[in-house]
Amino acid sequence: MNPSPVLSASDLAVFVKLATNCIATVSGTPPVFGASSIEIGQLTFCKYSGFIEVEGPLNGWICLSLPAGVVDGLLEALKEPPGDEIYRLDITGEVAYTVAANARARFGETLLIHPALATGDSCIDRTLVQPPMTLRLPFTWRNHNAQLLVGLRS
Amino acid sequence: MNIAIPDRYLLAADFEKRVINCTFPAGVWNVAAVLAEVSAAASPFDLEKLTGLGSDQVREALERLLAKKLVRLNLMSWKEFTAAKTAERGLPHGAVAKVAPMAAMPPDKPAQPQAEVPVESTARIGNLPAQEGVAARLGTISRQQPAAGTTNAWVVQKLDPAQVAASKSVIPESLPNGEQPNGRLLRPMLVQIENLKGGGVEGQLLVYQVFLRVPYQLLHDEGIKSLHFVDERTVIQNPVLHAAIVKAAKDVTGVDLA
Repeated sequence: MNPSPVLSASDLAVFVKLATNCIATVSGTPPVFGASSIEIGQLTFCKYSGFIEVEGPLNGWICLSLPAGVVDGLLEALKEPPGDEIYRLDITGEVAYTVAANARARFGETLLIHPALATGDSCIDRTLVQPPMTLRLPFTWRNHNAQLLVGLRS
Repeated sequence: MNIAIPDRYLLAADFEKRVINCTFPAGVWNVAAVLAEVSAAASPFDLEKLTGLGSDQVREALERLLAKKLVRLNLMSWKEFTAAKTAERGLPHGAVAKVAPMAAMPPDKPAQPQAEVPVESTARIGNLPAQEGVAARLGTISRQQPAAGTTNAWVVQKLDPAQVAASKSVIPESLPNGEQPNGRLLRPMLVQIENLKGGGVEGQLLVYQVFLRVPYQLLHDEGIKSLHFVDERTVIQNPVLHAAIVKAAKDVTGVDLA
């Protein structure tokens, strides 16, 4: 891997755009972002979270944290059965996987993007560490509150 | 071509009068409606985010609205700029920032039963072959495209009232004697950093990158649990913390907040 010295905010925004685009493409409804905040300390996750871990010029993870209403809405859009725990975890992971795959295509070897991880217990994946400061980008999708989290160590 | 300082647009002052005989596709009206809703200057990037339209569509909509003089560029003279800067720096420096704790995540609507999920449900899907994932169903997404049927579906989300209420309960609007609190308002500093990227998500990510350079312990020791970007009343009163933010901004962006 050949890390570049710094990835800019514009580069980081690629993940946000990819996540936005993925949800909009699957469902036909784009998420609408609200007022952001920097969270210091313990985070509150929605029930289902898809994590994309990155290493290189950026170290940390990007997380799409979704309530059951969003997950079921995405399943319905894909003609999959809503309400099933296995399918819910699957779609959560697949959305994160899609973002990771497209980010990998975008950044090439500049950034090491790990395989996506999914949780369904309102918690961070046990292999990941929550950094001291996390950027929280809340959004609504069809009246459901969800959030995109950016947790970087450096 | 990317431009370092994007133009920002406002609805024309006489919009209501000019709009009477105009007809446009819905996508163009979406852009005008968002500008009316936010009541502030917005960059094309902001408009992309708020309307769900692509960059080309936003640019075309702005051109058509400009041609009818329904919107205008948000330009200011040197005198106006310096006056605004003076106003931003109006408060003296001082001691500790007071920030409300983060409001709890609003419940999912409509309420969903939050059944407990067994530990085994934590899934690892990273090694799924591409053809099994959403990526296979969607194809590779190279740039943002408006989803079918979404061009009319713009909504501007207001600040969560719970967040505002939580902030108000901790940060007084003024001291009991009516004076403004001492210290440096955080919001103008954030805006100055955000504007380097034309605001929007990129601007907020830049602010985040700046704060990653601020010693966590300084924020923690002041009891700060959450920094809301839209909070107009958060005051940085600790001079050490203020200096750390100024230094971080200088290191990351080159901008001088002092």
